[in-house]
Amino acid sequence: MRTLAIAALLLAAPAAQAAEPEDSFDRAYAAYSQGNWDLAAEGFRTLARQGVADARLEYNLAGAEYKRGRLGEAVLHYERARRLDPADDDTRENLALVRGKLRDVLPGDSGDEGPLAGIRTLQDRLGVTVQALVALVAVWIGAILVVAGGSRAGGFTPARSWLLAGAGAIALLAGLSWRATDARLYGTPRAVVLSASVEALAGPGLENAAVFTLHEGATVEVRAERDGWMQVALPTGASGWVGARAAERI
Amino acid sequence: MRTLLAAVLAILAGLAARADDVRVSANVFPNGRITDTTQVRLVIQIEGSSIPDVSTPHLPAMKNLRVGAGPQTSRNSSYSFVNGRVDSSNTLTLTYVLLPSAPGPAEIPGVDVVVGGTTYHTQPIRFVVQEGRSGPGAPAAPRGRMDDDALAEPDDGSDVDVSLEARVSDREVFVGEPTTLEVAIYAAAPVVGFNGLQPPALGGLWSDDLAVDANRDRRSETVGGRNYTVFPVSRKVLIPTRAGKITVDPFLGQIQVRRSSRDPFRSFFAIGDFVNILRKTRPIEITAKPLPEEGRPAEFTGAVGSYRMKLAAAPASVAVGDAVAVHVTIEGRGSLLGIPPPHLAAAPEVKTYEPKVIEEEKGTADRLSIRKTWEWIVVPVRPGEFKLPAITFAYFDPQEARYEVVSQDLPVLTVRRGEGPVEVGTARAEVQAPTKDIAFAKRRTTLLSEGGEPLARRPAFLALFAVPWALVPIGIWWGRRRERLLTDTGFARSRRAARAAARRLAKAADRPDAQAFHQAVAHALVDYVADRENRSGAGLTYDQVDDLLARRGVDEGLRRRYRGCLERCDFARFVPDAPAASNRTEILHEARAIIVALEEAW
Repeated sequence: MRTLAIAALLLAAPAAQAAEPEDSFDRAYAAYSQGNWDLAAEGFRTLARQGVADARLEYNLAGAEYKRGRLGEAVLHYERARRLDPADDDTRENLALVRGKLRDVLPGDSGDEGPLAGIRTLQDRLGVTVQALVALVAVWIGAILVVAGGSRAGGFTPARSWLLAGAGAIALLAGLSWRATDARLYGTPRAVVLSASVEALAGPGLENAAVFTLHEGATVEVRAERDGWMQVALPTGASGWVGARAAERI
Repeated sequence: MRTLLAAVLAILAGLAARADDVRVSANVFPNGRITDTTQVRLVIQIEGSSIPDVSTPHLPAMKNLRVGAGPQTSRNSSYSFVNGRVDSSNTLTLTYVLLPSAPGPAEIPGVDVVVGGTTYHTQPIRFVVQEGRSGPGAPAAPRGRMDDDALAEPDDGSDVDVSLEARVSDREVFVGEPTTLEVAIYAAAPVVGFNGLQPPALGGLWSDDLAVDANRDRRSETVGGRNYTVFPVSRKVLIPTRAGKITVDPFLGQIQVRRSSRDPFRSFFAIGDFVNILRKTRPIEITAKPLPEEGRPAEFTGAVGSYRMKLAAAPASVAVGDAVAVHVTIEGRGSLLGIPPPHLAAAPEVKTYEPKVIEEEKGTADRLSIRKTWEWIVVPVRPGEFKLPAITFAYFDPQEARYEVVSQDLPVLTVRRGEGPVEVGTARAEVQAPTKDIAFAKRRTTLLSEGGEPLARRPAFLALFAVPWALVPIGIWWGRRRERLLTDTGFARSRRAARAAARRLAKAADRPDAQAFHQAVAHALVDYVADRENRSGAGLTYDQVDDLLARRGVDEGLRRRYRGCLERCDFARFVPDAPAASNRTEILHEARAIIVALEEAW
């Protein structure tokens, strides 16, 4: 009987562990709802450190950090939430609101602008996975049509040819859009400045001259990392080196 | 040793001497021509064998001069030994930089200098300030050689073609109508620095600085046939506050330029001399026309220009006691400097707080524009639906030379009953506009994602794109084969020959009669070849079958096995009691093996 009880406990243990992140999330959410931003941030951050990569988790952590006045952390986690769920409007709007309070105004920070803004918004709403699946289905349909047409003489009827052209066009369009969205969201390594103010130096060392100054929340492109230094670049093309601790990769 | 001691004592005695041999003098440099763009140096020298404490002298009011910088102090001591006697001489120099205000007589009254408690008085200095260089134009003739005692007579840079020029966009405007002023360096020589601009008192004008960047905004202009690089150093909006002629006095600026060296060696190697020169602008006269009295609306508060008004109020539906933010934006061409906000009439249904400016954008010298937004906070004090009072803004349009009044209604406000008693703050700071906040946290309704690579970035997913193209040739082959099986009966019969033979052999095995069994086996073997060749098996002789097999490249050993099996069947059919007939299983097995071997050999 005793052996049976131990076996039952061992079997139940993985199930209890699996439920733990959700319980922790709910507790942190409750702290957030009560306005206890410090506790909420700590709870969400602990989950993130455990490897939970969920858009809601990053979103809530960003909100708690914003309420604590840590704009850099807020931008960082909203950006991570956006990578995980680009279609979420709340994330996009919150990020824009937080960016509006930053000291550094960089090109592109104000959100999607320009003639392609509508397309980018549509791409974000569809998400990378949906676009990739559309491209995949279109490729399979195209391949089936090629097989059907090639299997018999005169198999490429006009209707089948049009269908094949349509499938090819959809596959190409969805594929290009998917790759463009992927490159935009994941292609360029970026980092967010977490220090209140940091000088970007001409080289990886304190002996180098300051090139420009970045402030908390500024989102920069990461070009290289070396010996505890990170080479960052602005959308304007200017680049400099900051201590790796001053900024964190998205 | 004795001599050294005597010398030290003598020095100490000299230092301890009384200040009865102190001499104080004042001089100005340069000695020669002084213009209103010359930096005049007033040098006060205090000399004596020893100089006790010296108080910093207070310069008296000077005529046509003002202090630009100073005093800069320097000390100099010297000792001389003559016939064993030590004489010491100390000099303290105080240097002021003075700037002439205008051409004409200038005077520095006597200066009182207190040295060791004794007051010394310098002699007054008088000189005449001449008209200096202003505005672009050909430079003066080069000065003499480099060794022309540059220290004694500072360089006023009159031979350097660099000038300071002020221009206004409109010289004739209405009172309150903005005009822009640009002060720029016109340089035909390399300018390496600008040490600041001293603006005049702008009497009769309101001024507001506009953004300027000398390097970004620089341009080229040709004046009098000479090409100049123009560096704007100041831009202002000027608004006349009274009617009549208003003079903008000269601006004074110190410019650092590089001048070609007069030293042939330095000139050969393109090494220039850096000189600081003073330049001033020419005075500008602006005529301010009075605004007409006729047609002046009661709401007019002095705005002159051309404007539009935009209104917004949010939220449109509130509870009693909640704050509603009313935003009024005035934008257009002109300036709102010193102009009060538009008029919002009081209403009994709301309490209105003083507005504050929440946004202001100014244009540039090229584009005189303004955009200014005020925010009012209104708090409803009773429920219901009512209209907020209209907002009115009046201005004078100088282009049309008439007054304009713009008035817009605010949207209807729906006010519901509040939950508690109405407590309306008494100060603007106590009431906050309903500002936008971040959207609230997201509740978890499903399990959390463990993360990992997104589906669309996983290699297995990407491989799914290659799979169909790898299967296309197979699919086409299969499709074509299937098509042929459906349409080509000979081909279909040939492909199905082995299966048909297997079925026939299976049926033969079921026959209890030995003769019928052997006949069925022999037919199965012959019909297999007939199916393969798509012809009828009836009437085929064994020799014909052997020929067909030979033509298909079946080797002789297999053909002999095939023929042997047929002959065993015939023998068993016609000699039922023969020993070979008893072994049905062996014959059946041999026939199946032959079919398999023929399938492989075909």
